[in-house]
Amino acid sequence: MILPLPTYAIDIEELAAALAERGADSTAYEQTRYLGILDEPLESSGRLSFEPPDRLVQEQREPEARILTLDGEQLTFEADGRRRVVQLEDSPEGAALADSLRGILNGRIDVLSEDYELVLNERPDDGWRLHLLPLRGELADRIRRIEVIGQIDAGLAIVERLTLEFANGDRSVMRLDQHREDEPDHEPASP
Amino acid sequence: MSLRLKHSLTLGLWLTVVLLAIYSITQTRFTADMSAFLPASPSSEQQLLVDQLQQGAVSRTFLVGIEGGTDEQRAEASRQLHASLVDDPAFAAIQNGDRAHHEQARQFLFEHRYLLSPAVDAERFSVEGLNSAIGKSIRELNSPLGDVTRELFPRDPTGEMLALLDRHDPSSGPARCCVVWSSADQSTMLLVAQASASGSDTDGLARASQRIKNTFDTIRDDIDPSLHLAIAGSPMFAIEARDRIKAEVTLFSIISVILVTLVLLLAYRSLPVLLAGLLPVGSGVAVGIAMVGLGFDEVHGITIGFGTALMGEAIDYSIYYFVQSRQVGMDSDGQGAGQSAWLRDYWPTVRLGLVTSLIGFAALLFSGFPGLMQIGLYAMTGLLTAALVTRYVLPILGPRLPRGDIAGLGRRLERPVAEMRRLRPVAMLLGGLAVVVLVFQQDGLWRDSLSGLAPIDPALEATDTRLREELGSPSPRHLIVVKGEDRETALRAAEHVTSILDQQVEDGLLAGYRSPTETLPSLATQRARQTALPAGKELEQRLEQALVDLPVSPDRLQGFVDDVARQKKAAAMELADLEGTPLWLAVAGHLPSDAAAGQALAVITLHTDDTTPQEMAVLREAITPVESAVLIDLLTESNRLYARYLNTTLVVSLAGAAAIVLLLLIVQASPRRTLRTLLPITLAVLLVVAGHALFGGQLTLLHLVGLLLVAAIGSNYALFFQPPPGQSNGLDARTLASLTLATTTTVCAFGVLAFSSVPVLQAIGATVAPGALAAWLLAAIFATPAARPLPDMTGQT
Repeated sequence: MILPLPTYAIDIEELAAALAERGADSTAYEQTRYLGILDEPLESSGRLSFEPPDRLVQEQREPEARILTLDGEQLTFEADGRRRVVQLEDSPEGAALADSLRGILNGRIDVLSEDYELVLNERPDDGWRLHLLPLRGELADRIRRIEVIGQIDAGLAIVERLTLEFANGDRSVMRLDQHREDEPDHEPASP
Repeated sequence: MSLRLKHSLTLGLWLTVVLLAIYSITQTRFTADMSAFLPASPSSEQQLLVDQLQQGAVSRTFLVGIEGGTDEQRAEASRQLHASLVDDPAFAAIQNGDRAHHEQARQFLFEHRYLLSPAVDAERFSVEGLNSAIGKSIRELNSPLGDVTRELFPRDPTGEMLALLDRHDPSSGPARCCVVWSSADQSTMLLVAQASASGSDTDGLARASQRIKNTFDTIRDDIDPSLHLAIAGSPMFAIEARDRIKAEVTLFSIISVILVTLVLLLAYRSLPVLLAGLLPVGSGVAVGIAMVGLGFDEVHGITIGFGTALMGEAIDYSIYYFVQSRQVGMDSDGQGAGQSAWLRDYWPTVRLGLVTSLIGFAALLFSGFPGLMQIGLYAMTGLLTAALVTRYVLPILGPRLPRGDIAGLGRRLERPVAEMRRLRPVAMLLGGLAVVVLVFQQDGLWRDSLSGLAPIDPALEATDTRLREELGSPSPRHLIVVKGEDRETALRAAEHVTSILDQQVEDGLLAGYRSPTETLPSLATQRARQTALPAGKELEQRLEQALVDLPVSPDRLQGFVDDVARQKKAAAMELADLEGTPLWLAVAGHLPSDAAAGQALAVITLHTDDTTPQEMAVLREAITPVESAVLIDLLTESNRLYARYLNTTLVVSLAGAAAIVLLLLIVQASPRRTLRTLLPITLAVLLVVAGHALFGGQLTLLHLVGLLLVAAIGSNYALFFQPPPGQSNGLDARTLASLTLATTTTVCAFGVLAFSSVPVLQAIGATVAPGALAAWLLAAIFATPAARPLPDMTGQT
């Protein structure tokens, strides 16, 4: 096991604080799924929004409009004009993933450490890499590990990439745009 | 035949009958099922409603809440209670929302998805169909839920499972806390337990509820003493009603017996006379209960409770006998002569009163409510027995008995009673006012709903409402019921209906529906789906073509090919296959069947919150192609049902009243006299109805029964106050005394019932007690003045 050493620029509490510091947040994302059963990866994109304390919305815009909302313990999925509501506890697969995602985005390291062993690595230029390794068997049966890569910028943690590695080798990579909510989605044209 | 032999034979016959009756009673089953006061319906639709109320899943389902302690302690108690009761034969099913339960249900759905999914047909499994379905599933893999559907895809690439899960939407269920059902605020953990006992087996339900309570007590002692149990649901109402009826019937019987005994003891001042006077009543009660037991297989607690009040009426016969035969006896030269004189002068009047009472009660036999029919039969046989014992047995015992004289009471009453005739204008005025009241209140006079038949404990009702709301299972209001000669034909008819309903849902007329065929399709449908599934090789070939333009290769879908092959060959599902899964509870309750009667039903519940009456009419019309399908609005249906029975009972009562009038016309042979006899009875009934309209709220069918009794009892008084012209005595002191005594016992016995919390008993008591009193007063007010004064009375004491 690799433990963060004191010489590292950040430790896990600082990262948690820096993540929590983000507050309400909305970023564009692109997601690529590499599934063993399919011959080619699947690409999708949309916006990921977080509202404290515990509301996470994944709004997929391409290729088809889909909205997944995790609010408290309730998971809502909207597609083709239909709403399906699932209690988090009823859907262990969905629960684990959505809960982990939320835990990362709101810096609830304490919640995450109940289910995962957390391993933090430093990357150059204030970068960090967090590995989440499932502790419990039923979670480990599904998820091999979760990798989160980001940076610290002026006391705020920015999540750049989130990779889910499933037990069967499937992978899902979500790349988050670093631009904050209050900025335009795209770089303004150079003057 | 010598007189002695005749007496011995009479006594022997009487004793034999009473002993047989008592033996029969010991063999009788007693019940307190309030559904006896629901109509025994003639139409199948109504029969079904009654069946649903009596036997339906709802009637056997306990709602359980666990409160107190911490979240974890409550959840642990919920899990332990579930674990303890799940294998208990007293329960058909018990659920606490455990995830394992959901898993089990999902597992079952998954293993039978190709038999269950409505999408499965030949087209779906054609090359084009497979291409389109698998293409869609791949697009779903790329949605935010893709990380979940990813696990299903290899074995279910056509997405049947997601479609099934959508239909078994768990979001309609209760809230959760700590992986079990809880109230929304998480302060109460919820369970649902369905007893194995039938809804009409109150004893079995009571044992089941006791099992829950005892098991919980043990669990609580292990976990935390602050935990407590809330238990409700339809069976608890039945149990509560039974316990209450039992307790009240016992209590009121004791009070009535004490009151009547006290009144008689005060009047007779002789214990032997009192005991002899109770013989006709006791015989009547025994024979009445025995006859009901023989006629209905079981005797309702309410019948017994009513019986205690009837004692007040049956005791009248012995009062007339003891008081009046003494009167005649003293007038003549010996007791034997007095008896024959009583038989000659008074028995005809008693007999006429008896026959009018019998006619009144006979009306109940036609009411269509088993409970009321029991009361009618009980009253008729009870009164007849009491009268016969008075007529034939008491005269044998009578001469040997000393007896008190209550002529003094009669004489003290004579003057005030005579004075009462001055009140005739007042009585007529009151009668007129009563008519005015009734004319103005006629619209709201009768309550037209079924509610209020059973005694309801407000605390239990509050618990029930709370748990029911938290469980998110408000009783459905609209049902479609289809019928078949067996389950298969019923299921096929239900599938026909759901194909129509699907269209209505699409058109927005209906929010949705739940049909048992969603979980248990008919065998025909299952076989059709199996036939539509291609055989293994064929499927592999079609997949090969279907996947040409899709990013998945056929060899990776071997799990799918295997599952299809397995389910194609599998035996079709039967209801029994669902047993032990949480799905069974939902399905079995909606498939009531009666193999003996060769009838099976399927019940489809409709989600009609936003459906207007016009849309309901469209819906009703839409399902007409399915011959046996009936759309039932449980609310209006039960009310309409009740209204119909109220009407029937009204008609039968009026017919009974007409029969009484006809009888009096024939026997009295004088329309004028009959009018005089009827006047006080009619006024009494009018005053009671007006009184209830003004102070007592709406009248129910039970009040109508009470009014019938007022007429039956009142006719006795009116007849005595209007003695036949041939009878010289007019209204003498002892007749007056005996009538007063008879009224007192009747008012006491029925008056006690007016304090009952069992609505059936309360309604009858609150009608008959004031009605009998009014009938006596009015009979006195409108009495024929004595033809001549009775000088022979003066020197008697």
